[in-house]
Amino acid sequence: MLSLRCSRLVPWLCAWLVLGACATPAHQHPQLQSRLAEVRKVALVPVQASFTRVVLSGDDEQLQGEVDAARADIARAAEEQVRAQKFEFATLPLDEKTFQSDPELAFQLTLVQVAADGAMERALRGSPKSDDTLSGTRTVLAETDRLARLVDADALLFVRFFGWDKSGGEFAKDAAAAAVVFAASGGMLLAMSQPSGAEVVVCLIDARTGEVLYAKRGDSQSDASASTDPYELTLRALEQLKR
Amino acid sequence: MIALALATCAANRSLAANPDADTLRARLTEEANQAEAKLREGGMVVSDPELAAYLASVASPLLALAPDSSLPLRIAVLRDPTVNAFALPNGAIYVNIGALARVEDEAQLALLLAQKMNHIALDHTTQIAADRRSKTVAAKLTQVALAPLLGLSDIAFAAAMAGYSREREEEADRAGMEWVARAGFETRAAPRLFAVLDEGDRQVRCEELVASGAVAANANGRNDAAALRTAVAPITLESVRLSLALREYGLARDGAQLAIARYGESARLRADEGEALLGTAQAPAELPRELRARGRNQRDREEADTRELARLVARANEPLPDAEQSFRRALALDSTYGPARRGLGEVLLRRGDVAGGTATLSEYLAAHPDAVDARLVEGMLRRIRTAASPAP
Repeated sequence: MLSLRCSRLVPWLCAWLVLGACATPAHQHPQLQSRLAEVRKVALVPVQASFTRVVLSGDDEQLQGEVDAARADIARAAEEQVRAQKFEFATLPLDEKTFQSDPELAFQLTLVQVAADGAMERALRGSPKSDDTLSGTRTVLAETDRLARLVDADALLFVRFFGWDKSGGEFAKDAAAAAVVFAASGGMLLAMSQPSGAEVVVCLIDARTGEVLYAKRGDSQSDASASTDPYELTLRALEQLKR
Repeated sequence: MIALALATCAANRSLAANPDADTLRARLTEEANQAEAKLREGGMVVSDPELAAYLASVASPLLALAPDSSLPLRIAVLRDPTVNAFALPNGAIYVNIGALARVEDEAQLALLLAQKMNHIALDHTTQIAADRRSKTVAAKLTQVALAPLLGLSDIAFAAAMAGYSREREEEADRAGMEWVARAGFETRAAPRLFAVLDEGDRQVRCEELVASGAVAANANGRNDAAALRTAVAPITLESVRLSLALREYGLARDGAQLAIARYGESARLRADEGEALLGTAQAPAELPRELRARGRNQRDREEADTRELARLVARANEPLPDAEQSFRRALALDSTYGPARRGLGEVLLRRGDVAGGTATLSEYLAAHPDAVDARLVEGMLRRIRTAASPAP
């Protein structure tokens, strides 16, 4: 009996496959068009991004350079898509200097991001059916409002990015495992996991009510071009946001 | 940050004199430093000099008992309403405001701190990190809501949040009780900490230490409950507010009721209690993972899950009468308190009293036209009117 050691990547890939399998029509507010008509300016909230390199030794690395590049690409794509729909666009001016002068602002941002994360997941699952006033970021409306007022925005755009790739050694290990299975099973093919992947989730929240106006998840698995490019993924995730 | 830069040490035992362990320890310390930096950047660390001074007064006699080492222990308070505390491998001990708010007296607080100090002193944080690929660590990490948000996927943080084996918890509990006794706190009262943390078996074990004489009871030892309650009053209220913000409605309800019992009722606390009860009155779209049936037969599991979900849906509205009562009490205490009136309007709507609900929400809007949620409430009323008006 051939025994295969589970790769550390297996749980990730399972989650990713599940997410891909559940993917994901865009969530749109029932009165999206009338609500968007009231939106003049959209502000991009600092992008939550991570990029992990899975390595053979087990000490996976967080690649800060990739994260910084992804943040810049996502901001560029978001601005293009938002302006294409004739909204004004702004980026929330939240940096270390701002937080030093107003430490409470950092916590408010954290709270709003936690609430928005939950809201976008609920929206994409389609679960807030019982009472839509309880959807969105209603519980942190004061904080949401304060962030939006920094740039006089009517809506806040949240983007979350998760990327990963495998080191050469890790990929070679997977290839070797596939070869062993192929040989030992007399020709059974083992589907090789991808050498890299990425996921983007976008969520537009009405800053005056906290309601989710639009949410969409896109990943390199469900994307026809299998792109892992954060710029491309963000463009596609936002392309159904039209007025 | 409430940082008590009080020097102390860690007794490294099983991993002592092991070069690999030293390398791991250095890495964990670095990762823990980075995790702390992220917590600070996220505004998660409480900055309150009065609370810091009070915690220092409780922690100092405990820290004096720590063996000598280069590892400094520090205590900080995290703006997280969940009932939790953890130790990082770099010597930082974080106590959530949710835990501080629930601790009942100084003896319990001393045990909480001493127990975490001993996880560090006994090198448990490094030992559990060495076992980082265990399923327990991986599974627990996924339960930490803030970790992915703040990019806290580091092993050091994961290990700290993952909890310890029963043997390590027992070791730290026992050493913690000994420190509490030697530091002069009323040891007999301390084990109730674990009842507060809903870990009754640990309470029994620690009580046995006192009953058997293994740890001195210190019947007249330090244990000023009033001082603790005064010191943690602001973060108790903050904990309720954050629980509501994070939709942790069970925590919010318990926190509001605890605060009312300790500090007396107010319009705000009664309204928070009502808001929490209103929040718990939500029919779940799917069965929570922890309630799902276990067993080999998938069909049996699915049928059991369907029954359980139906039961939860049927019971979803049960908290509404209590929520209404809380909002009405809040308004009796302060008829101008807006959140109570808005909450009452919502609960009336949820109970089917459309006329009463819309009237109450309209009153709220009239009295608070600039409220941050005015647009949301206006939208709600508009939808109700549209639904009620006859189709053209």
